[in-house]
Amino acid sequence: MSHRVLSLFAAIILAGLSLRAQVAVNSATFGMMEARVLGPGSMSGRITSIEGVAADNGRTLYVGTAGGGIWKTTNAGASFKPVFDKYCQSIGAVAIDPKNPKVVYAGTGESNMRNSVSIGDGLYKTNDAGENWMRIGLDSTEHIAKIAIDPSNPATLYVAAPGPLWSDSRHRGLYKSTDAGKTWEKILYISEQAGCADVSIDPSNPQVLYATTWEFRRLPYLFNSGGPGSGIWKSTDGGRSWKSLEKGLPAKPYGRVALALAPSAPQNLLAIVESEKTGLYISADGGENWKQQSASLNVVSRPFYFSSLVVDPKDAKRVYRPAYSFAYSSDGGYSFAEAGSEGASVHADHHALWINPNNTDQMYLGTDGGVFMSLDRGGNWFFLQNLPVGQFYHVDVDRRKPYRVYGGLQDNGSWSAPSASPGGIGVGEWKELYGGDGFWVVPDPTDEHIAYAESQGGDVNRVDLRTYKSVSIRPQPGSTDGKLRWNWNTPIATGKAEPRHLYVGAQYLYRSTDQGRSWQKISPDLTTNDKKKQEQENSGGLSADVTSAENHTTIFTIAESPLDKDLVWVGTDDGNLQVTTDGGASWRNVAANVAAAGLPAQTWVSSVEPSRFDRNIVYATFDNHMYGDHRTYVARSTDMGATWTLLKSPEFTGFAHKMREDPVNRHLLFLGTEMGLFASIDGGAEWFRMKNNIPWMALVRDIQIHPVTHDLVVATHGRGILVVDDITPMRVMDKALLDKELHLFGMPSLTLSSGQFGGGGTVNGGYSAPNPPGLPAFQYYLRDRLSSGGVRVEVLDKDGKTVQSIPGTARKGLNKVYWNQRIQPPKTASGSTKRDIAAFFAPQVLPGDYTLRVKLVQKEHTTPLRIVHDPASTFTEVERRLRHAAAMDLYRMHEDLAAIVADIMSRQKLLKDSLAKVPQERKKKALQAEVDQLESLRGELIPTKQTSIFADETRLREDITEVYVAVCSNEQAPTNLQLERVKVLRGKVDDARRKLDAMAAGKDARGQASR
Amino acid sequence: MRLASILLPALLASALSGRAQSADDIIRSHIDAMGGADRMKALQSLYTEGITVMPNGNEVTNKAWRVQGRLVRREIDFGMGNMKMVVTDKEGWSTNPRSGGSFEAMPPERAEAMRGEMDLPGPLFDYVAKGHKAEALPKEDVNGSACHVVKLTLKLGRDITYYFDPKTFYILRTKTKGSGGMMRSGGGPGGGQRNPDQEVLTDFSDYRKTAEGYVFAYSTTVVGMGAAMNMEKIEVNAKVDEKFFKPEQ
Repeated sequence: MSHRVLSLFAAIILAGLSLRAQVAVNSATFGMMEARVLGPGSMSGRITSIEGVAADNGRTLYVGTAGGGIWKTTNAGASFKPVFDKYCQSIGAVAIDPKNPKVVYAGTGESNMRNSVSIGDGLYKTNDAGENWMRIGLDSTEHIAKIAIDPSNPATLYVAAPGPLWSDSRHRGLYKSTDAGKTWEKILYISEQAGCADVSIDPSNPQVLYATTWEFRRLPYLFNSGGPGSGIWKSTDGGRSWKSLEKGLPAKPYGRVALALAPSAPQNLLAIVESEKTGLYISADGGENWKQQSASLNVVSRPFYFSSLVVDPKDAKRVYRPAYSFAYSSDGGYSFAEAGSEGASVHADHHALWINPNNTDQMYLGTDGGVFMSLDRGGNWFFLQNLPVGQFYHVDVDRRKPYRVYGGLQDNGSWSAPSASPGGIGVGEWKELYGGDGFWVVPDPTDEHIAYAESQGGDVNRVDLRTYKSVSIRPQPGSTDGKLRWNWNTPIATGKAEPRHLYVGAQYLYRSTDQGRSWQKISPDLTTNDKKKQEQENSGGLSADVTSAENHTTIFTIAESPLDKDLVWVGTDDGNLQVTTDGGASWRNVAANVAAAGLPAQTWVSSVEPSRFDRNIVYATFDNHMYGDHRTYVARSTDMGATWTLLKSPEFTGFAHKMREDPVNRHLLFLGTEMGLFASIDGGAEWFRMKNNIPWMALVRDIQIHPVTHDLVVATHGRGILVVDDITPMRVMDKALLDKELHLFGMPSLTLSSGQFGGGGTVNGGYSAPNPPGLPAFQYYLRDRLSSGGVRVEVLDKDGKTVQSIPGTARKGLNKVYWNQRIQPPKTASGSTKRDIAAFFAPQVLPGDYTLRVKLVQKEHTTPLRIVHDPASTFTEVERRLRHAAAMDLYRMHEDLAAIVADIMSRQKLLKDSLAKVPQERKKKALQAEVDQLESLRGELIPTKQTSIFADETRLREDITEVYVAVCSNEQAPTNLQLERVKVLRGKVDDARRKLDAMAAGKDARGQASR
Repeated sequence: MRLASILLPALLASALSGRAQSADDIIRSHIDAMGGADRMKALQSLYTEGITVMPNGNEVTNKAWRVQGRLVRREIDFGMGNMKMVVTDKEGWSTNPRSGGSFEAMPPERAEAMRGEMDLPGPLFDYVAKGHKAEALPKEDVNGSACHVVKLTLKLGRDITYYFDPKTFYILRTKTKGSGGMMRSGGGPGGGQRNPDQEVLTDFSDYRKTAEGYVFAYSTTVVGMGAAMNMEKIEVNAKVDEKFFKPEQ
């Protein structure tokens, strides 16, 4: 072996050793910093697929969502849990093996091809009912509309893949597997522009298949549904050959077709065919001949978005059309009625319907606002408020205590909720501020009663948070301005340096300093003003679809520098990145400079983040997915945009939406993309994916860091609002600290508190988010997990005496231990048949200087701990000291009583021992009398008879406990009667001691006399 | 060449350590870490005594006598009352506060569920012979450690997912579905069974070696319960009095 080879081996091994020595920072490092899912459940999100297990009568359901993964219920919707959190969160289709319900397939990438739709990364399969999933192919399809399983042979399945929305692709079409997903064959392919949108199997003859193909395309500024590639197809040989079904159908071209087969009479088909004259068609001969039926506008409207048409599994005449509203027919589609609204008013825009085949009265409907359940064949509905899959575009926070979060949701308006509330943040805590599709909701930093909210296309309003009355403040064009172009998701921003500044952007930037009562146009047209991208009135293709969703050449993001009120950055949806340093008097477009760093031209600027540490530093994210490019673009300039560096990481997935710089540590950065939340503790050199109770591929649209609580607040487009409470440990984590075996985080001071809230009870009905911890945690870092021996966390007083000792966790990375700020509980009287809660209750410590110590097996670390009274509390320090004095009196009483009872029992034991030994009956009687006398006294002090928690027995110990617990718990000075009671109880304890002493003295006297 | 003879095996070992391990490899390493197959075969009885301090301050003590293939006896004292369960290879009885402390026959399904505990080395040891199936799953993080994961499907159909420390091969966590054990689920102590669909995560820590060379977790926490059960005593192969096999106090 040559020296060169040996050297290579040595280098490889040394490299391996040195790598092993380094401690990598990742999500597990901060494993105890789990996100709280704030919800809401009151406004859920778009549901794309619902499938139930017929064998257990519909108790088990899988719900696929547009951006929140897959949720499973095993109790017919009473509760749900997410089962797809490690994978792509956009779900297009779910299918359950009819013969083995533990086998479930999930196609990622929904196919309701609106402007904000996400993308998928293939087909997944679980063999254990959702516990574990594996990706089994079709990785490049991006969108999957339907999975159909052969009911007679579940190893055969078909997947309809419309394919990419924003680009041509060879990966579209209908795929077939005959080995349960191991291998795939494309069995119906039209073109790079037309994919397969639906597939159905004739249950009476699984060789008979029906499929629809669809030609469609989005551009950032235009949508087209329809073209020569659209059609309806039939195969009678399991997909080997196909024929186009046309007889009786409208003239081509078609757009999207909703096709339904009646399971109980499979020759009966219905189709809603998008065409120049979109209509409902019916066939009674397996699609060979069709006949048009009259249909209401609701039944045939917006075919690209409403592609569901379902026939009852048992009744071929019962047809359901989930669309803009819910329509049903009892005569095979000849006439339709609308669902009632006596229960829940069903949210508009429907995409999924599952009917329990064993009880066809029961059905579940998936809408843009969550899941509804009906028990009367769709006549009336219940809303399931326990699916927190809301699709936020943005989030903001105010400075109230507890602070409120604000955000706008896709098709679900603008909402606000407190970040904490007694009992948890239930559905009733969420308040709707404004309707329509919601986007930016920005609280006014100068007026806590005002927020700014909007609906799509620049409908900006000022909302009074006391009354929820709103006032339209949308700027109007001047005589020479032309038509204003407002993005679907029009930016609203307040000033970071000058909080009175309020900005909104069309193609011009507007600024107000009086809450939108008056505006100044402070820029020229900042976009490319490319006229080719301004023909939205032609959008939709065969069916006009002009909703402002395709508005283009608009301002999309606005950011005022926290360091300079005249330094403002603006990004546009057509690739311009503009900056002014003089409050709008002049503007500089730096798009070419970013392009020089490698960014494709005309890439959408999704966010701009001017640094709060250096006015020359700015970060920006870019989103090019609307041109078929899914790469993560995030860039930094350190010279006010003259030059840029693209920040890169192998961890990144998904196109970028938001960069946020930590307000305290300039090296701590957060990035939100369409597929994940990422963090860097070293200024962007290395990144890790944040996973702690955060879906790994979460659609992260916005990020805030609260300036007071230091919470990371994340807006997801499918999992509502997530809050990572207090990210302070992330701020201090660096490479040097990571290498330490143990690091104890100090705290400047610990403010005494008995928690944020009282009880509050259980929030019942719908999703309820947990509150943040009521007390701050002691935090320490362990480089390695301890597998043997434990960790103790101790608080010592100024004399070094242990005040409290708590078992700590021993996980690798950050550990958190919560101390209730109380001393060790008293030793209470034992020997009772009843437990005494006082043994687990203790007075709160007083303000002062303490020491915090963390002890491992052979290592310990200490840090000073200054404990302070909360000056903002209505509970004064004088009252605190009075409470402490009374509590300690009662504490000592318990310990004295414990000693008395222990003495009694010890004497009883001695007497009983003697009793067994003495032969004389007279002495036996005397000894027994003493035992009984002691027992009588013991029975006065502690419960000795109670055998059930329902037969309460109260003695002196319980009397002390009642006052003790009340005094310890109350945030007030003891009342006059409590203080009097303390004296009375002290007297009783002393009496007991005297009685015992007297008994002992009497015995001693008798003993001496008998001698 | 001497250097090569040192480096080459090291390189190979390094390469092998990077390879995904099979379920058999992982389970074998785990059994070795717990004391080895010979010790597992020699396990005849186990006495454990543990204490749990609940978040409300209540102390729960748990004593268990287990004899390989013949007995599981548990005595749980939760302060204001206690409950006992005796399950032999043929019968089962239990007491609870509502029965006034007297033994009643246990439903056969519940007794059968508890009989799994008579397998003292645990279902992983010799799992093929016991009719169980094991499958290695992708590594997962548990409390900061990237754990080996093995899903064991028991002969009777229930799954247990094990998460093994990558260095020690000790079990850090198990994941099961509600087992129908004597867990509280409303209705008071011992008053209900766990929801069969409820996922139960149990964390194990503070591993210690006994004088006989067996390794046990001295601390067990059911995630979400907020309190750990800490072992105070573990006795291996101590003689178990025949009276413990009977429904007697």
